[in-house]
Amino acid sequence: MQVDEDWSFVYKKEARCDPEEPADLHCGDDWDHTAVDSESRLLLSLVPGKRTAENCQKLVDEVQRRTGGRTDILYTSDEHAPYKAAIEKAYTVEVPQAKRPGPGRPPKPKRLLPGDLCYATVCKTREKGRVVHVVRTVVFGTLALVTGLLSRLQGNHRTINTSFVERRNGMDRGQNARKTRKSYRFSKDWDIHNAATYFICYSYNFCWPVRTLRVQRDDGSWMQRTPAMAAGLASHVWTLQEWLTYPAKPG
Amino acid sequence: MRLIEDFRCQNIECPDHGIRGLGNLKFEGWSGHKKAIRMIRCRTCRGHFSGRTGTALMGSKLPLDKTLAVLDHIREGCGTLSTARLVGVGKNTVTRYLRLAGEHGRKLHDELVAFSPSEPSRAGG
Repeated sequence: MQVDEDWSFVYKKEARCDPEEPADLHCGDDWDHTAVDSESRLLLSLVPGKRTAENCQKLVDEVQRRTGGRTDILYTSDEHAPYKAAIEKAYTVEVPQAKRPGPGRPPKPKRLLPGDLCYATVCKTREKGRVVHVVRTVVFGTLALVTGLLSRLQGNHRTINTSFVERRNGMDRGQNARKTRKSYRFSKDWDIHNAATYFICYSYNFCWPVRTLRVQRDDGSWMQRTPAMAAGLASHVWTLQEWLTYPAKPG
Repeated sequence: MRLIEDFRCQNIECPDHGIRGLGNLKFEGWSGHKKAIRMIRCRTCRGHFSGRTGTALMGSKLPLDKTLAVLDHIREGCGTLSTARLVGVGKNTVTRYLRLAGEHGRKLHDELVAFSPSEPSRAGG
């Protein structure tokens, strides 16, 4: 599971916003916190908002909920500090301790992270805009455990990286005109900006065939697959019409 | 054309609302311009609702192909004004459909993307 944040802004950039001005509350930088499964490229969770620890926590909580509370997961991110605390808070379990014989207060339960949960960070050093050095750090878990989790993955990714979430964020910037850099098409309204983000990001899962997910059929032809197909959530590439006319839960 | 199994009762007072594949729904009649929209009847609550209820096209007054063209342009990287010019609609129409599609996407994601990998090979990375 790769987590990252994708920058965009609404109406004006953060440096031009006045914190005392109520009209500027819904202006400024907007960060899409995204979690992508590197094997299927499925966008699992998306939390748009300011780049705060609360939003990182929301993202990790949502990933935990959507993966059914599984703990044999490898999280990778850049060195954005709140993720460590967020993962710790979401996955820590309290283990009750046996009462010691004799008088005295019973011991408090121990707070432990699951042994199979791993979290690693990637720090890139750039020179003249090019990556010249990458430092990979295992924060939770052991290197052997991380290697074991990586070796289970299908496909051509055998290192700790954030490439897939960064690639998806780049594609989102290409698809969403509001996120194009140095253009006049930036959003002027916070709600519309978020609606565009939800529409483009979530329709990607079902309607966007990812080239590197394609598989070869027996006759040599290629079958295109969307992230939802790779994750086993869909059986074919949905058209936009199918996606828009699929009845959602009322309320 | 969607199958009846894809639909669910949209009446929130119905005991079967929001559940698919119970066999409580059946197609009954048509509505809309040129009678292009299926109407659905729920046998449980005896309610009657349009096949577009609960979708991003609910209450849409534009022809279907124009609505799809608006959202397709947006998804392919066109801005609001360029989409409005290319498709021949107003800019407020574009933002209105964008808002509807965003809300629909959020609901659909909440329902469909509960990704709990069963095999160990599907986790991680």
